[in-house]
Amino acid sequence: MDTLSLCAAESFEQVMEFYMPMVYRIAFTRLANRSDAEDVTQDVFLRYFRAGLTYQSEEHRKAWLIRCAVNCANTSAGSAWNRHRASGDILDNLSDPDQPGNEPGYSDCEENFEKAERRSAVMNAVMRLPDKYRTVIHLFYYEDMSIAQISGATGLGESTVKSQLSRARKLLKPLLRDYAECTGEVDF
Amino acid sequence: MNFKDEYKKSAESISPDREAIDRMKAAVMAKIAEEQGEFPEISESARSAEEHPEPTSHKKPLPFKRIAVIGGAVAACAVVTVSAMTLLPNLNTSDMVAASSVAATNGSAMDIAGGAAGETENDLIFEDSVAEAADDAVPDCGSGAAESTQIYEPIYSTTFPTYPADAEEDASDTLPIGDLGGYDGAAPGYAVPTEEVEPETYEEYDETTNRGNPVTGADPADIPQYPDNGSSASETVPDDPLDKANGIDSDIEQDAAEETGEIPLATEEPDEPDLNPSTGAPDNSIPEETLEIWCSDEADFCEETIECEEEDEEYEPRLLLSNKGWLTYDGVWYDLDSSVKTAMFPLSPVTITNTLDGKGYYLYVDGRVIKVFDEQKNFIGLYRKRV
Repeated sequence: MDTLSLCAAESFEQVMEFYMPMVYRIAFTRLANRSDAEDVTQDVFLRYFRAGLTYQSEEHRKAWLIRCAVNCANTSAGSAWNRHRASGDILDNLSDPDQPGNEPGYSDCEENFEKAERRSAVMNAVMRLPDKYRTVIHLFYYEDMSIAQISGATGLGESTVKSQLSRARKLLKPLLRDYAECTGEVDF
Repeated sequence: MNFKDEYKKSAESISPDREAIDRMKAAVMAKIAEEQGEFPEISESARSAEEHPEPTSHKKPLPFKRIAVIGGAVAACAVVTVSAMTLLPNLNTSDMVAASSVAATNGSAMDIAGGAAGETENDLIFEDSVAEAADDAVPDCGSGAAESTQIYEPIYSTTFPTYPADAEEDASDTLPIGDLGGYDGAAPGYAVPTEEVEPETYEEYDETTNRGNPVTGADPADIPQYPDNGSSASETVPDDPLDKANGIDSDIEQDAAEETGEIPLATEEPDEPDLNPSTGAPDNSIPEETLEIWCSDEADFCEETIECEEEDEEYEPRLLLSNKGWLTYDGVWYDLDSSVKTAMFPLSPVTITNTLDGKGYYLYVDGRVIKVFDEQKNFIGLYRKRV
């Protein structure tokens, strides 16, 4: 008897291992909070396990996970806790505690800020965008998804996705002006 | 500066580290374990545990459906029995009331008239009406009004001697002529019968003549709800506490018995000892019989359920898995869906041996779809039920 096909990501653990960073990044882009992103990631894979769906290809599985991650992140962002949380928490969560610049006792706050700015100026600019633009930007520029794929994953219309991308770029330009002075004009 | 490249580099910084991934995976597996009661990794041990379950761990649920059906049928029978026992005496009572009223009124009329008037026009009209009523009530008589009126003749003869000689005075006491409203007063007792007259008339009627119901023609001894030994409807349904609590049925029966003249027999032999079968009730009492029948039915029912359990344990579905794109599982045909290339190995698959090649397979039956995995848990294919 011939075996039809065996995918690399066969078992549930392998699926988690392979797609968990992607789901986490989508959730973090939307929520800008590490603990919330972890909760959403766990929720996504629990839903994946409970659904027990059969996927025709890895693209199908990936699309399902992305859509589920976007929906779960939107749900979490719409919760009362996240709606009333101070916006300053976003910048606090952007800094990685494992980085050497964030070690306690690092006295020069200005140098620390400059290092963090150099590392994640682009990310900070994206995180300052409105919530609905961040997911579109992430899916378009990081996951290399097309307008149609983003439309299918987010449930938005293609024209809406295009307009959101356009507005996000307009908003990013002034935010990246300082960074662009050193590296040249930003090419979207 | 290319925003796409810069963003990809910066987005790498928000990727979870190894520790975070392990932490999330452990949390997910723990939640799944909470839901499933076991970890997916130990599904083999769980499967073996399912094959050899502990005797006390799994209890077969009660057959609520059968209990509900049987209980409903018993309750319906009880309701029908109670309603029949309640309605039949009332029907019989209404017949007896009509007969008694006819007898009493006719007797009083004849007595008051004293035979002086003979058959007046009112008497003729009354006889005709009684005959018509008897024909309506007993259409099988078929003898016409003459025979119907002949049936009433012994009644008159039995009621007349019991009536006191001064019945005219009693009738005038109980029925004032002025209340009759236009009645000429020739037969005052004919219009409205008195309650004092009816029981005496029927006691005499039952004990001396022992004839049938003058209207229906039925023998009272043949009516099952009024046997001669004094048993009543409450005896046939002894364990209904509502009858005793509200006393409605007992009142109705008492009224009926008063009119039929059988209440002394019923009250002389109280049926309280028959209520509880365990307190020395007679051997032929109905509650014990019904209890024995119920117990025997329950025993048969338990034996049937045990047999069903044994049959369920012995039954094993068969798998015929061909290499031509079809299989049969438990006698049902499934066809291969070649468009499905991958599937996740399920948590609780069914282990089964293919009858054709003797190899073991894992099956996951999900409604109209079966996922087949080989012994190495490799995905073989997805089969859909043949339409």
